[in-house]
Amino acid sequence: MTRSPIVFVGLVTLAGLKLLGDALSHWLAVSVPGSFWGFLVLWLVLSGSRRLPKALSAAADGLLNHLTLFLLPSLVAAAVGLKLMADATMLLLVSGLLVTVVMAVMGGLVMSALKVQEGATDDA
Amino acid sequence: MTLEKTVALLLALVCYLAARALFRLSGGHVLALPVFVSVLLVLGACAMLGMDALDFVGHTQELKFAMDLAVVGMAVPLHRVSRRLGGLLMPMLLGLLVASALSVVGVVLAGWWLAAPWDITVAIAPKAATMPVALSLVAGDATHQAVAVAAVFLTGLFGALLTPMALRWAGVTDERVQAFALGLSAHAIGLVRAQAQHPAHLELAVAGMCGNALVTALLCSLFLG
Repeated sequence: MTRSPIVFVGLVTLAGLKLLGDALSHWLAVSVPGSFWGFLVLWLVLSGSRRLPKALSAAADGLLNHLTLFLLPSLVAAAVGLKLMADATMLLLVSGLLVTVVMAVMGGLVMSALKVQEGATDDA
Repeated sequence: MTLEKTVALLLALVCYLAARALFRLSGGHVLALPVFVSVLLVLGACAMLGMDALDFVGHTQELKFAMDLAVVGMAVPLHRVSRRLGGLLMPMLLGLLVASALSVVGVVLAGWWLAAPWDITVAIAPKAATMPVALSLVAGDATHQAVAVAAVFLTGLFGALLTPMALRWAGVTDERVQAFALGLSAHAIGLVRAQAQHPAHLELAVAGMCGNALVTALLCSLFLG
């Protein structure tokens, strides 16, 4: 099988999982998007299987290589909408800058500290 | 497909490809990240062509569907990396829980400190989740959606620019942790930086982004919904 049909099969599978996720989101009545339920279902299915289908691998890698393109509509909308948000400017800056740096550093420190401890336990 | 839609989609593609080429030409400089440059190119091209930027957004909604498929596809790199994590799995999960909780609680505390309206605080709270997840967690009107998009964008921008520096300052030098923290703090924009800085550990950045989107969505749905 050549690469294009493989990618097509993978894309159709991902679209099917996205629709399944939409149905789950509607059925469970929680504000988690369908694409995320689709992601969870796929991850659980893959976790239980021995090998990763080539079609899924090719389609996912292709999509993830072009995230910037897919984000363009939302990013342009944000750039245009920035002027509408005088009320939120300070909170956006504090949250975007301070909270982001604190979360990244704390997450990294926790992971680093535990990694060192686990390494020490393994050595012992 | 209408002519305007075709032009808008072509414009998006050309600006994206040009931004990627500029990023390569710059030698991978962080200020030339395609995610910023492509937006500037689109805004400049819209001004030159006399196209309203909001019309561009309306005509390129198909790209959002592709983004949804990419979110589902994130399970693939997460699956690949989770098979190889071994002893890194528990530190990663705990780091993820601490960071996600700090992100949501930090926004709520900052909103309370700045006396921001509660609805604005709730729209900003999922800022570290990926764009489609964050947008689905906030109210559907244009202002709240724009606030959420701006929060996600600024978080990605500051996270991608400052996370590596802040981690080095904090003494965290392990490239795997740095890649994971980039995905965790700066979602898809962090992935672009991780791809440039730590290409061998890109899957850890994807794991950080996906894990944070999941935990943030659960925290926001359970406590702020």
